[in-house]
Amino acid sequence: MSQQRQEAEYVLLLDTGDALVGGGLLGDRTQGQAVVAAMSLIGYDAMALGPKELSLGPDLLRQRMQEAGFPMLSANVVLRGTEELFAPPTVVLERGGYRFGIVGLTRPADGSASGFEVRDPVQAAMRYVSELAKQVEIVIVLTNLEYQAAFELADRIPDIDLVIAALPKAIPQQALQAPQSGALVVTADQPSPGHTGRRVGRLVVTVEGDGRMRLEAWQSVAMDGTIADDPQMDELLDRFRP
Amino acid sequence: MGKTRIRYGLIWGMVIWWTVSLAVGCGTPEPRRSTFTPEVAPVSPLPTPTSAANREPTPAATPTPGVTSEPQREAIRLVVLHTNDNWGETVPCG
Repeated sequence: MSQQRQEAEYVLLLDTGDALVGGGLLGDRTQGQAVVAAMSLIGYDAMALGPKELSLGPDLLRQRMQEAGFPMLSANVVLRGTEELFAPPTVVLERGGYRFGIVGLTRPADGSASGFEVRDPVQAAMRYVSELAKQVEIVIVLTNLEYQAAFELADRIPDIDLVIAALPKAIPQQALQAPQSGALVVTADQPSPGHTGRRVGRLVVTVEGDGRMRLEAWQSVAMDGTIADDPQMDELLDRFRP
Repeated sequence: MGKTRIRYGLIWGMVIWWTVSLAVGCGTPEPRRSTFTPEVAPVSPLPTPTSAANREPTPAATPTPGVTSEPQREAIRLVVLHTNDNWGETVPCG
């Protein structure tokens, strides 16, 4: 990420969620605290809440959200028994004079939500995308919906420019464009136990003066041994390791 | 001597240009901001500058041809880095 920020003037760094816990690793042992600290150090700009985050429960998750140096979003999670959204549904980020509106959508999942209710993501997207589109040049949906569901959502709802999705059936080879809407859909990695957090998607676009976005390039980059560990990150994680 | 001839040439050039401008209806010549050139050539009449304070309001839907109402923004190149399904993974990649 540091390299990318040195090479590019305008960068957004986003995560689709199911990030803090769920792999039986340091994230689980620290109830997400280590991952929040690491993501804050890396400088994430926003993250969507996923079912694995909801498994922490409202109190602990709210604490993690306060610890984070970035917003955690969901337009379709409410506290159970209420109509109150648990997290901010959207955030607007500015780069180079352009405004990027980001909507977070959570994948409905049975059994993992305690104290929460996950509402229909499509309805939530319809509402928040249309509101956001009036205020910004580019609308991005950040979601842990399965890739195919995210692709269908991208094609169905107008005014979406980019969907960043999760849970593909294979490591993707290219960015795809929804046929009806023209929205771009990307995802970086196909996870499996013991093989997560190993790839970063890198999308390069041009945002034109009229607010339209044009794809230049996309690739899924492996975080392998060719990339040196960051000493600051090592030091941070050492504090959490037993 | 040479410099004197050039100077008189410039003056006559200006007089001729001014006369031509008056003949084609330019009205009182306004000071030109562009760099003076000694060559004499017919030029299109300059628009009379209008103070913004005296301008009559015009509907936004009919902009003056050739004049943009807002400056065009520069395009930018944006890099979007994205991750998914990290599931609490923090193992160093080295």
